[in-house]
Amino acid sequence: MRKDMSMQSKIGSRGRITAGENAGFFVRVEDDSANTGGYLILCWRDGTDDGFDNWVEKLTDLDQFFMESGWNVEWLE
Amino acid sequence: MTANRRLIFFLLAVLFSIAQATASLVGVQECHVSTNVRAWHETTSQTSIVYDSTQKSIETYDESSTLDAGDKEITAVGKGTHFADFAKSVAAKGISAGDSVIAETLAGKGNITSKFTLSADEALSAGEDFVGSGYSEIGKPGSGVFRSSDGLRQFRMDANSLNGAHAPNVPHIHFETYAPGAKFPTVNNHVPFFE
Repeated sequence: MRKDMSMQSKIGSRGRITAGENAGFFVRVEDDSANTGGYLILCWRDGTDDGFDNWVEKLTDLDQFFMESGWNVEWLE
Repeated sequence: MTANRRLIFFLLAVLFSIAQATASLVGVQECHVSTNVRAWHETTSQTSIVYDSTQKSIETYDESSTLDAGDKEITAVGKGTHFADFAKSVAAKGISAGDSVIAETLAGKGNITSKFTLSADEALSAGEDFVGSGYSEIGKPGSGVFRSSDGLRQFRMDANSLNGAHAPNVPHIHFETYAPGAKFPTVNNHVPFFE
């Protein structure tokens, strides 16, 4: 439950991937409940069109998503 | 007696052929799908196996062999049983732009952007082929996120992506694969499309 709360607090925040396959990309989790009912994980390289997005169905999926990503994220906001 | 011998030789030949085919298929590592020749190629450590849909046969294929006329463009190289199954399907019906995207997805790894652009109709058709029969919509109704019945493939056309509201900043859809139980996709192919 505490982990869910921690990810919940990151929604809308910007972070930087500091380690893992996409190191150097920025990341932001967006609540997409109005459209899909899930959450979008947006990743991009600043100042470019280089980027991608992922999606999870539930808030509780976010922890597993980030764990499986292998990313180390430094949250900036 | 002669007839019996012929029968025995025939049966042995059949068994030998089956054994050869089985041995060849074990350890298959890669598949190549090409656009013009309706064939699939599986590369083993030493040789390739070519399925010729015209001849309806499987042939060994080595580096000294030449491909059939017109086989110039390799669109995908993949590994594993699922890719082989897909490649066989392509061999049976010919390859379309949507098939190329599926091949590219199954051959890919991580977050990728497709080198193909699909029309809206092609995208929908390929998406349906990708998730197969028995798929279901997940998320809220109308989400545009569809999962295959085994949960391992996802076709996503969420509003945010359709609008090109985020990188790669063009309208796109997603062809994604997952390991069982995973939340992070094995492959997430961002495919641009046009109306």
